[in-house]
Amino acid sequence: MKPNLLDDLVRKARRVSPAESEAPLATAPPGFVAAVVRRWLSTAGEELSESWLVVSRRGLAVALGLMVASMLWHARELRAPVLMESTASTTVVLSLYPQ
Amino acid sequence: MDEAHQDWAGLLERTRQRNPTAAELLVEGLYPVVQAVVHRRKPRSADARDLTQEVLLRILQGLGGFRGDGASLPAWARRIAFRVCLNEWRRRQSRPETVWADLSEEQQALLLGTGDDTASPATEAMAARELLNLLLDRLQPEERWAIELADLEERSGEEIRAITGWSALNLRVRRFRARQKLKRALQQLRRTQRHET
Repeated sequence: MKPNLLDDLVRKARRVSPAESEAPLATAPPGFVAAVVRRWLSTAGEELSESWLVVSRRGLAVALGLMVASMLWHARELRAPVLMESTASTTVVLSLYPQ
Repeated sequence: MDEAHQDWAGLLERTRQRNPTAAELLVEGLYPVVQAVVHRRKPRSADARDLTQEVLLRILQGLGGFRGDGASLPAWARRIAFRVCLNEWRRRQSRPETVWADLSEEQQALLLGTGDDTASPATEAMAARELLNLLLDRLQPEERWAIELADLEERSGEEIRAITGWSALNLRVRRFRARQKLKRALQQLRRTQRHET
């Protein structure tokens, strides 16, 4: 295989001019534009409710994130006393068991 | 309607106020811009009319959030069209394997370097383009377009950035990955030829 086969292929493929392929339409077919606008106007209410949903989802995500962050922060502060209490309770319980 | 003479700012304002006539004029004006992108970038099996309609609908729905002036509307529309086509590629991508037997004689000759000297440059170019399309089908859509825009269409970095929003680094990385995959695909094709012969 030639070492620069890819470059060779690309160079040859460049010669295919866009005019040789089917040209796109410059104007919309009859009825197309009116259909698009009708569809847009009929979904206008959905856009609004969707946007509210997006806002409320974002708000919920932010609130949850703040809550989790707050819990983690408090847990860090409380971790030592909680560990101490649990260690003390465990010691008391163990000491009550008959040897 | 001629893009250069379109009163985009005025149409934009009236369309935002849900004026159907203005909306129709806006859609008519943007149609050629959108169609040109969809025609070039859509997956082969996708319907151009459906995709064009989807793009125009998204443009109308997104006008509320469009912060540019009227003159930048066609460029914004092109970018939306590009993204819709990209999503369509992602949705449809199956990355079919191509084997030696799938290739035409001209394509096989190109790979072997045994092309007929009497073949016209146009025939050779078409065979090269079709072969490249088969290989490009195996890439991620962004990698495919990096090759198409930079190597085949020879667009500048600025032009590519305006169409895709990619930074120069993004483009470089995608092009590099695409070229590596294309080279491996060519080697694999040659291996299937050895197995079949």
